[in-house]
Amino acid sequence: MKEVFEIRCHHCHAAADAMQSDWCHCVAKKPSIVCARCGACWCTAPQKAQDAFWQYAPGELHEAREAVIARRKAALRRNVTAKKTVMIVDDDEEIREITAHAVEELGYQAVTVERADLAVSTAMRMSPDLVITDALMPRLDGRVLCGLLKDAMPEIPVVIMTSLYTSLRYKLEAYRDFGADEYLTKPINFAQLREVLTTLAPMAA
Amino acid sequence: MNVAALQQKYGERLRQRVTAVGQAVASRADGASLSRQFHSIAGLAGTIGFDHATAVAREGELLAAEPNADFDVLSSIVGRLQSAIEGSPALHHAA
Repeated sequence: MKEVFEIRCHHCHAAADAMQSDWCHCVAKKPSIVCARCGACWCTAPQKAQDAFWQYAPGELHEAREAVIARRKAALRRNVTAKKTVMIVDDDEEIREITAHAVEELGYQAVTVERADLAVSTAMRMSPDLVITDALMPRLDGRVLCGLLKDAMPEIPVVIMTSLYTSLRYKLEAYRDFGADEYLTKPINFAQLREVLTTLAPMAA
Repeated sequence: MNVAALQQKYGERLRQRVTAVGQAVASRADGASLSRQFHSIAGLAGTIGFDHATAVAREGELLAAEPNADFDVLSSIVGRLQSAIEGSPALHHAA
């Protein structure tokens, strides 16, 4: 028979079985249980109450807590060591290949997209850490794509890379009107590319 | 990035693009399409280290975009482009 550890929420006083409760995601502390009614987590209770709670908590609850900690540590390790993904949007097959090759040589995972009009949906599906887009493409201007990406996923840095708009005016427009994070000119300068990647999508040390 | 390896791998595709734009100029294709072809040649040539070819392709790109572009001049640009690629020390180094 499964053990029951009945408690009352320190915040809303609702009764609950601690063995059936969810675990909080508080960053600074070890995980604790969450009230199903009000969402308050036990780690925000007065220290005395917390001490008493864990003192009387059955061993099974302690074990479950340790398992949660181990799972979260493993997930954190996976996130830190996972390669970051760079999405490259260019209608030119060779430029896509070369840029992808350069990005992979720098330790990133490259995803290439040929058509700018498919780039937003691909980005939403893949959640890349950075997008590099050409400016002049048949169906959609790269700067417009940049604006669309920024509307949909403002947290993803977007780099416009082009041989077309080299003047300062176009660069300013790309930054100001379309929200580009960086603007690179073609031909690809690999040292510059490395600098942009390490600045906008730094790898874990 | 190993530029010599890039040139070895993509040099032939660059030549194919130049041949294609030469044919397009000979058949008097429309300016926008020609300009786009020169543009893609300039981008690829520069990326794999053919700097002179990039400059020549840029000339073609700008000229083709003009209304009533002179096809004789465009044709001579294609010729210079071929020479720039074949005469590039980078290509001989790669080969």
